[in-house]
Amino acid sequence: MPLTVIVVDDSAVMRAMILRTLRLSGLPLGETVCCSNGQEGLDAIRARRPDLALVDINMPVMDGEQMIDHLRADAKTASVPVVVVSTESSDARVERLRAKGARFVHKPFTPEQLRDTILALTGIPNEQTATAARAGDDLDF
Amino acid sequence: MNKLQLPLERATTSTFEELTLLWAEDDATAGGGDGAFDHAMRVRFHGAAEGFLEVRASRGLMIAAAANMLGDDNLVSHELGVDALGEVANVICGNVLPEIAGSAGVFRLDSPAACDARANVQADARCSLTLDGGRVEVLLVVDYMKDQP
Repeated sequence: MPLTVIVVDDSAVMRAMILRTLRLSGLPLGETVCCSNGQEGLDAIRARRPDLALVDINMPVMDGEQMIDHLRADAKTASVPVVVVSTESSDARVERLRAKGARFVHKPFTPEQLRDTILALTGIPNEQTATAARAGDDLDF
Repeated sequence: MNKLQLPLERATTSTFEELTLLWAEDDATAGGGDGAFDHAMRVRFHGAAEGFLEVRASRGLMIAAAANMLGDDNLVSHELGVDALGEVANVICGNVLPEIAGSAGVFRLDSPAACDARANVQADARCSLTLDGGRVEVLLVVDYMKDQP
């Protein structure tokens, strides 16, 4: 089933780069929505109940950690799988995010790191992405 | 060489290579650049250390970085070039801080902001690189650093 994915990052280039990486990874993508801060991301998640959210930490208006706190506090959004894609390297913060059920991908990331983290979180079998990737016209891992 | 220099050089080189796919033609070298920088983006950081990191680049390098990140030369506008340079500054900053202040420290990074690429800045560490797309200079200023345990 195609995944509805929300990408939350204050950099337009990084949002485009993440989306491109997702498309090249062979993941079964459905609707993709981009947001530039945590508040926009929270609103989009509440409206769509996505299969996956990819979230930066340092953002204006509402940062990624606050956004995850709001998600987890609401029964309707508490189970949305979240991958934090950030430069954040503080052990304390990474542990806090993991305790909130988020997976972590460190910037700069490789396409494989992002794909493997998403596969582990969503439970999509790797063979499924390989098949989808073979059907694509541009695989530039 | 001060203790900030090597971490800054490592973070700068690896960020450009892994994020923008622009490879350094020479080793990272300390010291000033050639001054031919049109654009600069600055990221202020707070928490276990306070200060800012600034990346200066020519327009050509900024556009080359954005094109590689987007995977499409035709998509790049000036605004996306500036955005890409800001993201580069953000990633270098996020990678260098744990190295200089310890991974136990928690930091908050402000959004990248444009600044004067020709301003005279007394940096605590400075790194210049020649990349495929041109030259880049990265400056690190640390106003305060919490003592590591």
